[in-house]
Amino acid sequence: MKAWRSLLASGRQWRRAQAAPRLDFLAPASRTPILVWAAAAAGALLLALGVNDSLVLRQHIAEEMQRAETSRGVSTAGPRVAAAAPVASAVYGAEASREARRLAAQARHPWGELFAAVEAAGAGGVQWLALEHASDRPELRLEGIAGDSATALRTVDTLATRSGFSRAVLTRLGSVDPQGPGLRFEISARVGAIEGGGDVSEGSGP
Amino acid sequence: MPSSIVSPSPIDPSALPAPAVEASPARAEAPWRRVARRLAAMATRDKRMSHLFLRADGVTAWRAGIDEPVAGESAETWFAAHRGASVRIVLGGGLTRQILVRDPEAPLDDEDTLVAWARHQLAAYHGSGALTWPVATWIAPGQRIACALHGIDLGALRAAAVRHRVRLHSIEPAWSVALRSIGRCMPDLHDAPRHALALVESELVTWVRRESGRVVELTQRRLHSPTSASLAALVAELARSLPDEAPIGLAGYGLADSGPWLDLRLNVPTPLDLASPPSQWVVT
Repeated sequence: MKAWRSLLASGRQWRRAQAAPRLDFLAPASRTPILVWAAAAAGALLLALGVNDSLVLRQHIAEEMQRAETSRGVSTAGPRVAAAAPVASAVYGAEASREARRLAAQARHPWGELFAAVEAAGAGGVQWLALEHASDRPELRLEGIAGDSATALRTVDTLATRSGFSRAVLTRLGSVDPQGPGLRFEISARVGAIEGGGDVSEGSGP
Repeated sequence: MPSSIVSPSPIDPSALPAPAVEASPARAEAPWRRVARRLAAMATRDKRMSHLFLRADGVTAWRAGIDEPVAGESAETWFAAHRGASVRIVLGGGLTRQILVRDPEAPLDDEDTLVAWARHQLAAYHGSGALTWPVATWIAPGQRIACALHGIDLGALRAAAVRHRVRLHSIEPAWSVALRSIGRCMPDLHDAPRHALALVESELVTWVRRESGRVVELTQRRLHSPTSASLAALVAELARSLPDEAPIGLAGYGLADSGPWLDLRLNVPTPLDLASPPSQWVVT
């Protein structure tokens, strides 16, 4: 490689030695060769492409962040929905607003009083297996195991007399194990005035 | 041309407009308008090459595509009359001083060193003013040549070209351009391994001797009078260093007569009593 380079250089020198002198008072720098212009144009093009790429990437990242922000906003809207609801409806549209209202209602629901009333009704030998209830529907379904039928019936009666609970009926009663003790029972009831949230708590006293 | 109306220099600084007058409209001009103007200038630029032969007392111009030369007062007036032209400038012998490095061992292969050395040599002959003369160089194996420009302001010349949107392609001494024309104008001379060329500009003679394509002698001499006899005597004196069979070319203008040439070695393709330089030695 080095030998080739020196050979080329000596060839150039020989040609220059044979050529007639050319002395030019215009500085070579003032005459920009076309290759320099071509290189400059290529550089400018690459720069422009790079800038464009970075802008597109930036926009993409901003969109992703916006999307992530949006989904996080919806998932955390529950606890602080009361204050954020108008903003949420404005930003996320009707569907998101409905969802936010539903979550807000769920958060406002008097779950504590409801659980307390159910626990109180079952105090005295009832093991609760399931509780099905939604904040936006009045139906309540309870499933539990009682030592005998009297305990199960007493639980139903207790619930029925609580204010806020209505139509409390024993919908199923059967033995857990034919040979063993214990009865499996189901109670269906309606929980009234959920939106107000006060009825259940009012009746939660002893 | 009477000397009273001729500027001492082809570029007359007093003829240049004041910079402030030029600058104020340019500053007020909108950028897009300036770009549009430049694009228009590029589109309308005359790509054909014109040639300008500069002397201390005026210019001779060969307009692109026209054989007949036209005499002018100065380069600037020509630029003003031919806006957008593309020009090669050839410098008459009176505007340049040449130095050929005779010592092959002299460490002057670097351009900056050669320029500094040449300016030092010129200052010894022409005073400290020569230290600021522009210098062009030619560095090739076995020959180092420096050529200084004086008598015209190179910066003003270039500024005038920019002002009139004239594109300068080269500014070369006449002897350098003539050497490249030898193959076309004097093939016999070009083929001879040793030969010499005498370029005549009225009383000034630039003598270039070459061996195997290399310049081995480069000097300027003055004739006692601008006549053929005076030139023949000078050439006979200078040709002593040449072998007997080596051809000698004579070219130029400004003599009172042209011949007869008794020396058989002399090759004179164009008469030397022309008023302006023959185009074949300027237009390349």
